[in-house]
Amino acid sequence: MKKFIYNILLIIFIVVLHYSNFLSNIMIYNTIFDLALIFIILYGFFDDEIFPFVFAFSIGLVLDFVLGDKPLGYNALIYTIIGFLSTFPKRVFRVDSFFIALIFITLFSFLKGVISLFINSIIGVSYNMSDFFMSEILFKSLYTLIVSIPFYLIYKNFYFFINKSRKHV
Amino acid sequence: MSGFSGFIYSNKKNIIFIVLITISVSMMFFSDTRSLFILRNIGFSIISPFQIVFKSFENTVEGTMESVSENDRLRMELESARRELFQYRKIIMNFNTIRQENINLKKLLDLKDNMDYEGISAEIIARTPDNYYDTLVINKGSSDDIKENMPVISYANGKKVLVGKTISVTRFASKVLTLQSSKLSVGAIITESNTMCLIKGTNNSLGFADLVFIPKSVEFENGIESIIYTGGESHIYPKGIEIGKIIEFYPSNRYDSFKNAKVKISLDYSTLEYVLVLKNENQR
Repeated sequence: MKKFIYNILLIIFIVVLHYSNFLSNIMIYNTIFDLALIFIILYGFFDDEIFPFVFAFSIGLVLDFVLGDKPLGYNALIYTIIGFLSTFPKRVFRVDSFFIALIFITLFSFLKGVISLFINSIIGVSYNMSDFFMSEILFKSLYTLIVSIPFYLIYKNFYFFINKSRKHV
Repeated sequence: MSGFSGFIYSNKKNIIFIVLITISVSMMFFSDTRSLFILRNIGFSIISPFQIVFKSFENTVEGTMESVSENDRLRMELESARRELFQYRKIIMNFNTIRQENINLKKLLDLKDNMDYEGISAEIIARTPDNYYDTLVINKGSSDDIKENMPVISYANGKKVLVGKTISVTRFASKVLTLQSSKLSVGAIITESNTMCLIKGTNNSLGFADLVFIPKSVEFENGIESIIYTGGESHIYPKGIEIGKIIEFYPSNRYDSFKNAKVKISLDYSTLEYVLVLKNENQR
């Protein structure tokens, strides 16, 4: 129950922050980091097998409901796919290793850009390709990667701390 | 039966994933229906109070930081403002004389004021996270008499400049569709040639829109900046609000009746903070 409430609050925080005016002050090349994506990937790395993409679907759906002028389900679809895929690396790689985690965060960020480009082309939204590549894929991925570093370190330590205290109990 | 439930249990992850993907794709197909539009409005109504609270918190923090750092600057500005005020007092005296003359001349010519609109100022509290600023959220809603399809303007370089129109209104917040969006088209007029045409958002790059349906017969002198204003032919937008200026014409085919042009929008959406929603007398 506690986890449920924390995640509802987290979703509201991400959505409000995501659409906040304040972010326009820290934009790079007219793009902003993807906080929702960071949390989805971190859940995928450290949480169980199902929760990450259920969380991803929920936050995507809330983002769709709240503002986006894209069709309903657009963000839900993209984030669910990323959430699902983010549960796989931990089976093969040590995602608690800083550099491996960063490589996967970058990969998933790129992948999100590619999936959104693909879905946009299906629903008939046209973009200037060079602009889209520069802002949505390249700059957004890099920005997300940089912002994800403190979140990753805090979340990883928090996760290990919780596990340790459980073992002691 | 136990085999089936065992199958379900062992493939629980994949099944949930497929169900969620199916729900998302189905919603994308039906997202234009009325019921989903209502659901979206409900979602917007729930989250907009949080946006307003966050914005006021942001303003408080910003205000505190600024007040500390700007004390010295304000003292210097006060001195120069006092000097300027003295100059302006002189100008205002001249201005009042000219304004009175203008009123008298208008009466003589029996001209009716074109701008039959009252403005409601609003602050932008949120934007689409996409990098093209398709939609803005403002902190005024139906409680301030804002309705859908009201024109939204702002001021840039001392001129009224078109921002877009309201598309969705809740009690305390409204969504504004900007000229950046491909969903918005506005009747426009080119001042040099007095030509009516249409301006459309492109979603392509920030700060630009397309001007379409320009008759091919219309010629433009090179080097002269053609300013685009609202044409005033629709019920929504008043006439004479600046939109942008033509920067280039797209190549057209020999047998086309019309040509298209690229327009640089006069407003910088990335720095826009306040807007004015115009209340049309006819809409009230």
